[in-house]
Amino acid sequence: MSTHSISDQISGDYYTCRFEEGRSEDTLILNMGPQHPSTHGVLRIILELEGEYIVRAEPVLGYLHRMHEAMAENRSYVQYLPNMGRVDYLHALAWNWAYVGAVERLAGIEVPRRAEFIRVITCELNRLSSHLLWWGAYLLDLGAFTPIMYAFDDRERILDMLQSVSGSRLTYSFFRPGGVAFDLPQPFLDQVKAFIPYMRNRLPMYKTLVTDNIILRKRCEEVGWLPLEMCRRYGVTGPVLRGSGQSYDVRRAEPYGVYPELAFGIPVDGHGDAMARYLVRMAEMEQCLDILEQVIDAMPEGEFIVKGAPKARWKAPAGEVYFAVEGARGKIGVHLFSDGTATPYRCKLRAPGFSNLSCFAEMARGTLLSDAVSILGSLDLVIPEIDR
Amino acid sequence: MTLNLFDGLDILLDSKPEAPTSGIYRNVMLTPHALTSAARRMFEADYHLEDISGLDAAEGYLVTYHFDRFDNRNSTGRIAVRVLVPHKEACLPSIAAVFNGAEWHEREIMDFFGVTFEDNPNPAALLLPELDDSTPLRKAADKRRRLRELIQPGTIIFKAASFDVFDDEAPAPVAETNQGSCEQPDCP
Repeated sequence: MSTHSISDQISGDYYTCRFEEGRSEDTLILNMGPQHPSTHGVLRIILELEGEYIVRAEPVLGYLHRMHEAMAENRSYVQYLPNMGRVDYLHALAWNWAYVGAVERLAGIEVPRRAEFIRVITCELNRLSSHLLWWGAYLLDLGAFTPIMYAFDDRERILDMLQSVSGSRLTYSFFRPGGVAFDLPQPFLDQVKAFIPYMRNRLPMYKTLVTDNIILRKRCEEVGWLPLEMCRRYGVTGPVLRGSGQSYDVRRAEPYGVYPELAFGIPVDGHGDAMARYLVRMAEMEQCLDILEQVIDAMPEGEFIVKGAPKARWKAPAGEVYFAVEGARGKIGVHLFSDGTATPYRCKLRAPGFSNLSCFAEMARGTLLSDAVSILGSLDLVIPEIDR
Repeated sequence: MTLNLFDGLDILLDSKPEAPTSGIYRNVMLTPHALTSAARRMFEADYHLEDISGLDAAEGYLVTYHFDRFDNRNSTGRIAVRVLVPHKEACLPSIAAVFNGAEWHEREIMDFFGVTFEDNPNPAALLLPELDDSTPLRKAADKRRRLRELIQPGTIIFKAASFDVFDDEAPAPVAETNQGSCEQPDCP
């Protein structure tokens, strides 16, 4: 097996060479990424183009691969927690939750009620900041520069709030098996309370200025059509699936925490195009605010972490467990095997972006190259999560 | 419908684990050659593939396919379809023709464990460099645990007579070395 095959017709690295083999005549092979601005981070896509149309596409992964799953096997259960914030740095708290949830389910740890509320507040704030960054970056991909300035302004407020309680701005490791690291002080809750009406005023402005904009609509409507049946073949979840008309949300399908007690709908759009995915995420931002409002008012007093919560050298009972949560990009799953020692025997991470991106090759076939940028952005990819 | 989902297939074990403590509602062990037919039936029964998870145990590589449904009302919860392959001939049929998303999951397992998937449409390295054969999730022979130390099968509905992996008096498997998998597909 050689890396480079050197001949007159075929040149390039291993992946380009493989890709070239299926090439038809009179087409152009184009490498998009890993440094292309719309591939956010380091995703590479090899495209076969006929004129401006895509004949074939193949994503090449691994540029941000750090082998998080092997790292789980050489440290203790609690020491592995900081890895979670680095898997998906945009919705780090959902990964925190997926992992501590798996450990709690394995060991049968009950989480204090106040901690469950703290988790919902911080996790939903984090979801909102993730969607805001997606929104700004997506529009930047489509050529609109200003929205990301507004998105960062709002997002900054969320980051400031989360920093005040967790100590970090991006790669949170705030949850603990059995609760959370710190209690939420009253000033933080007041800040969140003040933030909700502020954000509610911003969203209609984004709708009038951006969502209803004809240029955006032309770039998103009827672009990247994803039928439901295809979602099922690829295991697509999250807003991408809901943009194809399926009302599926892990918070409802496999309820965890205090979500069953909260009133919230699942935004769905049946059009299955990039615009549908866009609208689902915009609706979810409003839904995040509704959830925040409910939990802030119902916040009970009590402990924020259970007594005797696992410490650094804590030994988990032997067994197997699967725990899933709804992240900003879809279903996050942690599949954990324990042999009764202080170190996980095996920890499999199910990243929603991995499955969501896997349908890109099929979705991009026959579309314009410029639409590929729109499709990629509408999938809301976070490459470190896909590569893990 | 799900009760006879696997009828007529080569099942080794069918059991119901404690769902609230494991997150898995049904546990089905198959022989490798029954895998593609099982996948086809899962597809016809409206399931989607959540992920494919590999595990290196004393008996061999356990590959778990997690399936679930999008419609909550008819869902019976997560089904774990598993196949066990010996370390010496770590080779499975690909289900990427049924669930296209499986292609990447299978390639990931090829990278991490060195298990090969026959008829995978694009069996190239996915996350590791193309010439890397470090298989980082394989364990040293003395570090491997037996499956019954890791998995509680729960209430057993059916068990094939020859299948003794979860029996208490099952003999310990012979420690196998890591070398050998089925013939690598030709890559440029």
